[in-house]
Amino acid sequence: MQNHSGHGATTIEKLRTVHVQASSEPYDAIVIGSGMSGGWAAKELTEKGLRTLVLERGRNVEHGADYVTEHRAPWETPFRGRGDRRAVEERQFRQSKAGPFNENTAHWYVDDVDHPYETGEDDAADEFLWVRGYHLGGRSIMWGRQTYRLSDMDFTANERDGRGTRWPIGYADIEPWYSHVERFVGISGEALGIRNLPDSEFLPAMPLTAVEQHVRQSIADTYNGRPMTVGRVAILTQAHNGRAGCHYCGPCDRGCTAGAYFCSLSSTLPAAQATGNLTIRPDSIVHSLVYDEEADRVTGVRVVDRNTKEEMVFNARLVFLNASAIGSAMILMNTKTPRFPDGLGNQSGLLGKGIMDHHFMVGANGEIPGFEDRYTFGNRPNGIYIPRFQNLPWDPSSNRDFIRGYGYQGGSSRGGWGRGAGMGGVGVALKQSLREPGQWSFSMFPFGETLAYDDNRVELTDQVDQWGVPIPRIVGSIRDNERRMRVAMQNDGAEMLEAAGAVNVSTWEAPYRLGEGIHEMGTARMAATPEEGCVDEWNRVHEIPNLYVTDGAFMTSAGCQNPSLTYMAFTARAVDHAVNAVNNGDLRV
Amino acid sequence: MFDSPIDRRSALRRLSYVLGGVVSAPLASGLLAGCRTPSGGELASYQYQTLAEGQQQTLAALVDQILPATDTPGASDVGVPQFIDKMLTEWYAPEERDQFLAWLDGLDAQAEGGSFTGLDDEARAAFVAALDAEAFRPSEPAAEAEELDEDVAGVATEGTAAIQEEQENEVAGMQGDLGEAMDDTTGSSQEIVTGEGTVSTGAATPPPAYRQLKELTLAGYYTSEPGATQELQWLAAPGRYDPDVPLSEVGRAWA
Repeated sequence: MQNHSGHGATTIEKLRTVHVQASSEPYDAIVIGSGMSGGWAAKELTEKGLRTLVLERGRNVEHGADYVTEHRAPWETPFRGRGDRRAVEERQFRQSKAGPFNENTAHWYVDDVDHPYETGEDDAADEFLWVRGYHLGGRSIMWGRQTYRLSDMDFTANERDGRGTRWPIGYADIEPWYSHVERFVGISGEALGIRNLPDSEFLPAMPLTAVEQHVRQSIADTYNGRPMTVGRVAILTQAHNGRAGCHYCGPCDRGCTAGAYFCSLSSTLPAAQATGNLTIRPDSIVHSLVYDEEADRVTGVRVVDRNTKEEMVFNARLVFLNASAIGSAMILMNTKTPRFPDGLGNQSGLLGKGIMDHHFMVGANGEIPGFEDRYTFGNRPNGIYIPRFQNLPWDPSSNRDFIRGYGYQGGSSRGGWGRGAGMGGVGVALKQSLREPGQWSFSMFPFGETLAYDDNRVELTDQVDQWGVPIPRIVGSIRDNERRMRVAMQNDGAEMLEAAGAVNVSTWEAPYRLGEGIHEMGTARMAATPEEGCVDEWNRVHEIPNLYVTDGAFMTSAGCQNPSLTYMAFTARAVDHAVNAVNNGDLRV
Repeated sequence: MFDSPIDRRSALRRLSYVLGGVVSAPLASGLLAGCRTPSGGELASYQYQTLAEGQQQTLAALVDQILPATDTPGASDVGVPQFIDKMLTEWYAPEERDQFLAWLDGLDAQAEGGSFTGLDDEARAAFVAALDAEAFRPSEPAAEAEELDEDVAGVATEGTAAIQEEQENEVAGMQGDLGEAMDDTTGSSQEIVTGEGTVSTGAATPPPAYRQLKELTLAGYYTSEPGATQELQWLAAPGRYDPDVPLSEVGRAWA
């Protein structure tokens, strides 16, 4: 298609889905889950010639046609953005606690009545927040799109400070796979050339506002070159791989027909379909896996049809678990065999244990005077990023009274009409004053690493849901290291704002529930041996040669960076390993 | 949004203008996806469900004192009373609704002559200005707590105009994880710890009725089509991002 607009016309193929019935003829591979990592598994497997079935537990979503709130104007939004309170209180009382949940995105979040889970009893501090999107594309539709590589510092952290399991791989092992996925995804950002946050393969960066440039310069001047950059995002700043550049409408997570931000529906699944090797079956809730003791292999997947509740088994030579950190752990736990009585991959007893997230809900704010005559055009779906500057292994002066660290997101903005509700004044004067934008303010919004505490965990209860799948209990909380970090997260933010001449600087902290960062991970950690963890250095479940877990479950430590990019890179690397094993005859399939 | 083919065509022209050229069919269909939702004219045909006729008149007079007609429409012109009726009917808890209605019904007793709507325009303005001054008296602890919320990360509480999505962009200057997080507290009670100590806010202590009225009036007005597109500015698809533009060139605040 011709590129008329300068932003690139889209050539995104419509996905075909089918409610195939089980057959005796096995697929080459089954991918469980169609979200961020499942889409990548499907793309890589099919491009390497494997006939692949993608099982998605939720409904089908047609790219574009089903983005029912895309570009909906405020006056078309029934509750004007406040949400349908009564419906939410009745059916989405948990999901609505998630940051990106709002009136125009509520339909992407699950119904809490239909999809229950238990938490710690009588302990509000142990209330895990499990945020889910059950539909084709999963949370790749709803994600925050911030993309950062982990660094060597992150992969060696557990070993260096003795907290947590040692990663059996290092940054060098994953570096080429980061590049591989970044070239396809399209990441806009700025190269910094620093060790603590390796650069990605970048499309042109989105620009900083005048206020942000000022703050960036002030921080660099005050803190010996400490860098601030624009957020690295999986949003196209120019046409890329048949997807159009961003048109800066703002709320990406309503869905983007142009495909300007990366999601499975616009990107990986169409690429997989183009190979002719892809079958997608929505409404397919996985109950457990079929394990053959004699063959020492997983041979299939037990599925319950979401609508008909019919049970069926799909067979395959390879299985990729991409059902999300908690979902994948549940499937492994629910597959008990004589050889693996506590669930597949649970020889260590650690399956489901050590759930991590990124803790936040703290920050600092201030007003930046001197830019009253400046404003912006368009809605940049992105902010700033300040890479972690604490506890750098090569800089003892950066050491703190906690281990690991945090990076800042944030950015500048001018107050909108909403400020009028908090100030005095009525009539023509009020109206005139709100016709102008308010003060420039700057927010520092840090995300911190959480450690893997084994009693932060998911386990199966003896209750089942309407599909006969055990309901999980999920408990977790942050501890002393994170609490110390949260104090510093506020103070450092305030100090950087003061360095930039901010006035009315304030810090804040609000309650944070584990899981609230929607970065839950680490339930099937990667480790060198089956005694230490669940999957090996290739994301393969220890002692089960044809079963891979490549969603956030495999994470052995969390870093403080948004994790989706890392899941994608490890998925591509794992598929490469699996297909090589097949081709080399190491894995008879 | 688009009731007639003419409206739809003109919208496409606007889109092709902002995108700097001819819009490809798939892109245009996506950009107009939101227009399928037939709720644009909802308030025009709205039937009051909670407010009695006298209450409707009092409310219309009140909201027009908060945001009067100038060179752009005023609050009652754009359906703010109907919006408030909808919120009272479908959103507020029964006890919150009853408190608000009791306050509304009690206003006449405070007005000279026993009727707020019986006052002339000047007296109405003075009456509402006094209500506003009372509600925003700086010494009132509740007022300070709420203003604090506004300052704190642009976090909106249930009490302070749950800021609509378009404003999230502005508050955070972005979407993404930050924008997500910032929206998090919308509709939930919360504690905010500052250097001064801990402040409890949220649903447990709803703001005084006048503050509620003011929030609803502003929200109803600036999210209406005239409020967003005539009083302020709004673009469905700006087509580009410019991080640094003279305010004089943009003119008014983005809705």
